[in-house]
Amino acid sequence: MSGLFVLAQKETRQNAVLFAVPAAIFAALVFIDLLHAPGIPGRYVDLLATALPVALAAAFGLQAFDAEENAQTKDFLLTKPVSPGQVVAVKYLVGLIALLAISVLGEIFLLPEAVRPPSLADYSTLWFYSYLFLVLVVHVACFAVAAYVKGPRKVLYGALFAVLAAGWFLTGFFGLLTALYHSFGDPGLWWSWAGIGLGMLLLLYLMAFFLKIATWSIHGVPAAWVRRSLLLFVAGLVFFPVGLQAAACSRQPAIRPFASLFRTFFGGEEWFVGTTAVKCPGKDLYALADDHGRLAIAVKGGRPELVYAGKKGESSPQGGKNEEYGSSLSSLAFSPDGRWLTFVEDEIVKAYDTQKKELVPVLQGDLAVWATDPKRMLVLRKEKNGNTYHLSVADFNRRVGIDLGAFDLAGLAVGWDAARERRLLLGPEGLLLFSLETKRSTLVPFRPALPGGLAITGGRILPPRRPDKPYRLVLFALPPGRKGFDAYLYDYDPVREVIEGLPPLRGLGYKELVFDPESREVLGHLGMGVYRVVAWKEETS
Amino acid sequence: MDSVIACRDLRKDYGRKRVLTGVDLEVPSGSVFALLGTNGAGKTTLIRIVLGLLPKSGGEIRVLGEEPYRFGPDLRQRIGYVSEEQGLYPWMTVRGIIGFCRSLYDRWDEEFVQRYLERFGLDRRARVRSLSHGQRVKLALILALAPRPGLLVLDEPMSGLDPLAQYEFLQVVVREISREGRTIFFSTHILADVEAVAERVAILHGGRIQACGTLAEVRGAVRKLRVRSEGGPSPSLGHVLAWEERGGIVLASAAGLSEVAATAEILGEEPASLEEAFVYFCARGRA
Repeated sequence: MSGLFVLAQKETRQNAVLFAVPAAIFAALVFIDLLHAPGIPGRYVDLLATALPVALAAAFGLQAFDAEENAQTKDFLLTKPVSPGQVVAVKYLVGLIALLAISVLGEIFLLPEAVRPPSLADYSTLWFYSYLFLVLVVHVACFAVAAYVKGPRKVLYGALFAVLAAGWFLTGFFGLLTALYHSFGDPGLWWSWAGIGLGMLLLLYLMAFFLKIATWSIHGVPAAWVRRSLLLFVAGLVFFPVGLQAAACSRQPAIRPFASLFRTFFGGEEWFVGTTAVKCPGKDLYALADDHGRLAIAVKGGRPELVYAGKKGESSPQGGKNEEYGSSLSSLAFSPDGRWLTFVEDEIVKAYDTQKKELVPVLQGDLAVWATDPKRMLVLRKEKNGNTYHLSVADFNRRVGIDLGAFDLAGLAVGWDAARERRLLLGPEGLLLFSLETKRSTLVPFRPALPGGLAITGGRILPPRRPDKPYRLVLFALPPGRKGFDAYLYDYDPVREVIEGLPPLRGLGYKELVFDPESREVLGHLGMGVYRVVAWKEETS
Repeated sequence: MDSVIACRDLRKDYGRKRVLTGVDLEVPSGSVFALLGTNGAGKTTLIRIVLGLLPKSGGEIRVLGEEPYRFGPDLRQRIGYVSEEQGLYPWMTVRGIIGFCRSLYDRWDEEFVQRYLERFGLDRRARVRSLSHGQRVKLALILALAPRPGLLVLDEPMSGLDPLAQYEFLQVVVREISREGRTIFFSTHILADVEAVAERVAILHGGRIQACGTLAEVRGAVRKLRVRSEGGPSPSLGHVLAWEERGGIVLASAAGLSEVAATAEILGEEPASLEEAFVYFCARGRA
């Protein structure tokens, strides 16, 4: 160990000037930045702070063997009680530590906003780590090149190999991140660090490969060993990016926030992180809204295509585009024929015509409920007091709103049976039917009833496409003593006025579930706009 | 007899060029062994293989019982090396490079270092780049000997040294190493060095060992003959040193005297010097 320390000391002193010059440049930049020196725009400092680490990586890598070569001290060193691998490793590590120290410290002072803990939920934080990885890849590639190529030619070879190595690494790393996104959605801080850790392993493999190659250059290895080791390494080199990309492809979710993470990283594609989604009746089509008030439509297996940019896309009074994000969209719903996609934005119900690609404001309201009639929609506007809602019917044919009056709606979800002029209210015991004509209420109980001891947290009423088909009812409950939540499902037959139970979904850890009233397909939101198909097992109740 | 270095049919190729074509060699423990050869004979290649700095292309080699290419740091503790190009870090001071080497070895004879620094007049504060060639060789020798290695390998260490420096160098080698029963394996083309210190010698030529043994054995293997022959010089006479009309002086293998006698009349015979034996074996290797 002391031998390695002595070697490291020797390397540091041998390269002291080389390390000191960029450190001084960084220090000068920090000084300029702190002083806000006149005549030097901050963006130049930022640009230098961004470009310097890669430039340093190339410089440190390419000169790593120069001092030893120039002084012809290689044999002297290699005949000492240290292995060639140790000599190369120490040479590399000293350069690496100097590079990291100068780069990371420089970045902390000059671009503090870029240095943040990684988060898969905020992928912009991955910029810093990806860039850091890129710097390390360039360094190790140039280091290996310097072990073989002498003179000015090594700059050319260094650039070539750095590009190849960076391409290899980023392909694998983005494949890895994509697989993580697709598998876990928003897995939290631990997985974010795990992603960086796995990227580090990938980088270590590349480092091991290049350091081995560099060791061969100073030690000279029998050809058979080189061939054998090279075969193993090349197999690994091919396997990692291809394997990770394949893993990413094989784990593709039903809806993903991006098509290519690589393109999103370099601005070629924008993420769409859906936070709420709804299925189009009868089609493998989903509508999604994100936290920025934008609306998108995604085919199952694909990525969301933006159809409404929200307030952000609207013209501002000062001219140009409004760069502020709009408020969140709520109450997303498709009309039974799939033509209209309605949502509530700033207490106004709006309808997006999927055929004409137009947005139409409908009525003021907080909730929009479709029934089996594709031309009429129930709009609810919350009154100031308690659970009282003002109900209106929006008639899309006549383009008018029909006022139905105010009602007290204390329930888990509101539905509408347009064919029978009934308002539906979901409760823990069953479905309360209220005739808008007779003003009479009828409770249709669940069969079987919900188990006792559950904490019901919410519910949904999903209308069918035709009046004679059943509504699907969903109740969400927190089971005592278990993780996750359960979803209890029932089908309400509006003709026979009976409710029949379906197998429940238990122990769910999703942020949201997307149901289809006509099938057993359910999508679960893992977070980060990743929706996967939920396995719905048959149960005998 | 234990061998510190043992080679069997050792081969080394640089691409398509074969530099060592099958070296058989045994360096006994405790001997001072000289490897003689002309420039380009493959001495440095052989030494670099012995030190594990180069991989062999074929054959067998064992140094201190191990394949040198796989030497670990432990085995390297037992081997000292001084080359023609000493390869000392020019930016270090004498003190610094001594400290650097001392930190790498388990054993270090500081008293030896101090004694010979004084004897050679080397200032600890001096930078290596400020030392003369002779001083650097002496410093390299001190650094190689301070860990008390069992095997000292020298690659043409006295090339470029003035006679006084050569003398001092040899004094150290003889006093400090050979008397302690350690093994010295050195390459040279300066025959006077060999006769001064070596007990055993091998002549490397054309990538092959042409002769190997004690100094007396190598010298005795070649006879210097004064011959007369009506037919002029012929290959069967051996290596011709000088020839006039019907006679001359030739070098021939001691075992092949009868062959010479068959084609020429031997007028006189005397043992060959090491230089003559070297010339003979090199000429035979070329043939």
